[in-house]
Amino acid sequence: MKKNHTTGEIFSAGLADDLGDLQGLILSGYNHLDHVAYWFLHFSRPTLSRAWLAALLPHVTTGDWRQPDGRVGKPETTLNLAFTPHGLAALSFPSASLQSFPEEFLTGMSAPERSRRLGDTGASAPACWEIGTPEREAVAPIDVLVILQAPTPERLRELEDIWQVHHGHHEVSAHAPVQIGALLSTEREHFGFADGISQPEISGSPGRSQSPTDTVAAGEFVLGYLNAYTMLPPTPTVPALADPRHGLPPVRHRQAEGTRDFGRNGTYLVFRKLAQDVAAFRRYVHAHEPPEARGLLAAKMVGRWPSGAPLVWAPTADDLAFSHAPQNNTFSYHLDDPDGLRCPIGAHIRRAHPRDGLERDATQSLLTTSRHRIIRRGIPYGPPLPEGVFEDDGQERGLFFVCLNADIKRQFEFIQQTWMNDPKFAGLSHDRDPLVGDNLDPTAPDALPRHLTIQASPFRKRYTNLPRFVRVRGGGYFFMPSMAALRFLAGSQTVSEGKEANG
Amino acid sequence: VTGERKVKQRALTVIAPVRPGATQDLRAVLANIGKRLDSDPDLRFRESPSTHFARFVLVTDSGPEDRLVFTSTHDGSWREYLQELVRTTGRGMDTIWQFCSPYRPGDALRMESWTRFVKAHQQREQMFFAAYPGVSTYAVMNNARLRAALEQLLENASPNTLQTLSSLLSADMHVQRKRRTADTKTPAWAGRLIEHLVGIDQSPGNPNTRMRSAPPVTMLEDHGAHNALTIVAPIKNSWWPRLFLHLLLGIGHLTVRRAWGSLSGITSIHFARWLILDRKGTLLFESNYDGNWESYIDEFVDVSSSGLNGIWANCVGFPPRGCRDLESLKDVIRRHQHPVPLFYSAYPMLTVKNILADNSLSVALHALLNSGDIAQVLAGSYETVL
Repeated sequence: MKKNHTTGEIFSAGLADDLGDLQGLILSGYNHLDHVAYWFLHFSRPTLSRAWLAALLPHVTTGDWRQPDGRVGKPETTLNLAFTPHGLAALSFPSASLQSFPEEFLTGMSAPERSRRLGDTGASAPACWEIGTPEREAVAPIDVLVILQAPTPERLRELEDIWQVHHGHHEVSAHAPVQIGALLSTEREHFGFADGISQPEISGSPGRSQSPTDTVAAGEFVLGYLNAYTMLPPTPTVPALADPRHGLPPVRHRQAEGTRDFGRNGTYLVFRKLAQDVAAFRRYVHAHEPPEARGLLAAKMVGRWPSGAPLVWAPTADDLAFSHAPQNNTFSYHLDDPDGLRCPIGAHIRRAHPRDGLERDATQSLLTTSRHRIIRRGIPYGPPLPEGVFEDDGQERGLFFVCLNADIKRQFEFIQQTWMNDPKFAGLSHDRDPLVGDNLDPTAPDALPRHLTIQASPFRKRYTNLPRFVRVRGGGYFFMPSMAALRFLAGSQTVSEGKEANG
Repeated sequence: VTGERKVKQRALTVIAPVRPGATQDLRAVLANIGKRLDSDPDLRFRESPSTHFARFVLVTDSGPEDRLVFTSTHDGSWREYLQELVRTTGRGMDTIWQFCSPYRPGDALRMESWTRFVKAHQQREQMFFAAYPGVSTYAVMNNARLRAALEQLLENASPNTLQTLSSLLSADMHVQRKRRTADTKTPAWAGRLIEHLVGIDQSPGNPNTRMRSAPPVTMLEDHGAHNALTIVAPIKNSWWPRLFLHLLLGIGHLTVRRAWGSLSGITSIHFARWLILDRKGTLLFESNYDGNWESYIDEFVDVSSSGLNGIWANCVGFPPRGCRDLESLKDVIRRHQHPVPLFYSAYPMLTVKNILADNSLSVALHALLNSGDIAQVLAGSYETVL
């Protein structure tokens, strides 16, 4: 789920020089901080929002972890920020310039055409959400997402209390109750599987890459750098006049004179609260296989065993020899399992990241997948359902899905629509992601078949009427600005002052 | 067990000018019929066994007059197909074409006048691609039913039967996988040469560009397994782009004839055609593609950027950096894309990959059931084998 971060590494094309300008979450999931709070806040008095932000600024965790004495140390707690268009407007971001943001960010995750793409229908439709529902958006829209991370629940609580007072002073109210996530003691997600194993590496960061296929151009995750098409990603801009203090860098193109780059060193953040029906998952597996075959069916849905060992390496039983890096991530569908006889074509991990197995041409497939990657920063919430329990205990549990990308439409939404939820994925006919796809929803029945096909020789095995195990409970699209852009929004400091405050 | 019968798939394109002032009414008529095409009593493509796909598009911003474009992809001969259209769609065609000036009411109801009209207004394509040449509409649908029946057979078989069959058919002996053979992918050197010839700029470009989607077009998309794309774009007004485009489409036409399953590596296109119109001034492109528009364009760029660049860089407004400038590319496509208010597909829930898989299954089963001994055994004539 997360990746340790050490600074002093050389990133591609100048990213290394800008670590202090990036919000730290882009480079690190803060592996050492297992407790997370997500705050969805609304500026009740927009006139106070700038002061609220200005006071928060010195506490924002950046990608530069050097201490005053020059040593590199992990932050004890962290704070990161991301905004909706409404929040940017409240902070006096020039309204005409909002149009330089992409359409999906402006319309938001709950727009009807996005729900169609994302499979947010039935009980997962925005009208049923807890966070970001259109009804609540009309009253107190989400303006900003604040993410706090701490090593213990107590420390997290302390932070929350401190900032709560600050919010109160600036009439910043809650759009939804604070959302608390924590790593489970098993270090697995609620269905019981190790998660977050495959994570792209930002190109140019040496020594950490588990496999070269996981190294992706910096511009896929951070605006202002070359992306996988050797283009600069489209970036939000403001007129130079709106930035008299020159806090923002100029847009790197001669045709863009007179505009300043609000997006550079920023990225887009996707948040989704995904409730997991663990009891239903267990019941389905239980009902469809005899005891000795249940583990395999569950693993076939995921593409991995609970330990994280990939089915491509361990096709018949969990094998701890393959549960750790690099063995758990260095495998090829093309060479080792082109027909899905080990890891089914429609298994969760094969859809979410098809590697070299998307087409018969492995090189082409790698090129294609490299253009649709996301950095995942999710964390579970709620208590685990005790082993052996098959009835729901009424407790809420699931995953806060958080991902970062430079292009929500081409990265997050593409993966969701074209790979996870497309019944026609890779030549299949009626299958969707068995774990998280928009399968049969009892509250919104339709006539479409929902199968799970497990390739086998001589006959495939097909499971029918797969229910939906994961329900969407809320979400939103956010922009996570650079430190320079945050200072621009706060409107209070010049660049040099900002650097001091941040040092 | 039936024998094999080869059919040829053809593209029909008919373009006629709309009567001055009639465009709005025609648009309404098309939208109206398009919405309830399944039940329209006058335009019954569903009863036309040869039609794979058909569509009507209004082209309003190219050239001095508005035009109505009808295209279809069909099996068999031109003459027989026109006959079939008169029979199944005559009255509907008559309603629609009445809005065009050279059409005389009733023309589409009789073979003779309909032939004359089509002959006078049809345009030949420069390049035509078919993902599954030789597979008729009937075969596509038949194969899909065959596959469904087999799936059902497996579904209903008792676990014991399946177990027995599985163990008897020792897997190793029977697995003989066929890798895709025919590949029409442009070689890398040719791609570079093409991009050089059309002058693609290799620098990173202006990040201050942003695409906006075109609502009327997007509203009509994503209602089945596939979608319809029609682009009409002006060709650059100079001899070199025009000559180059002609050459490229000419070469392309010869190459894609060998294709099976993929256009230059792209596996989501059923049929595509390219036409040069208006004395070399306009390029019309249409395709029937699987999945969503965004992922279709993405796949095109991922897999066949040089082909895309080679053709479209000859048109006005194409991004100077070529299609890797994805944002500008999508923008220019949306601007030149025309909504398809009336779109017919004979098999709206099947993708190219489904059709190819069903076809392989059908071919293999036919071969199995046609091989003498097995056929006799399954027919119950054991003695001939013994």
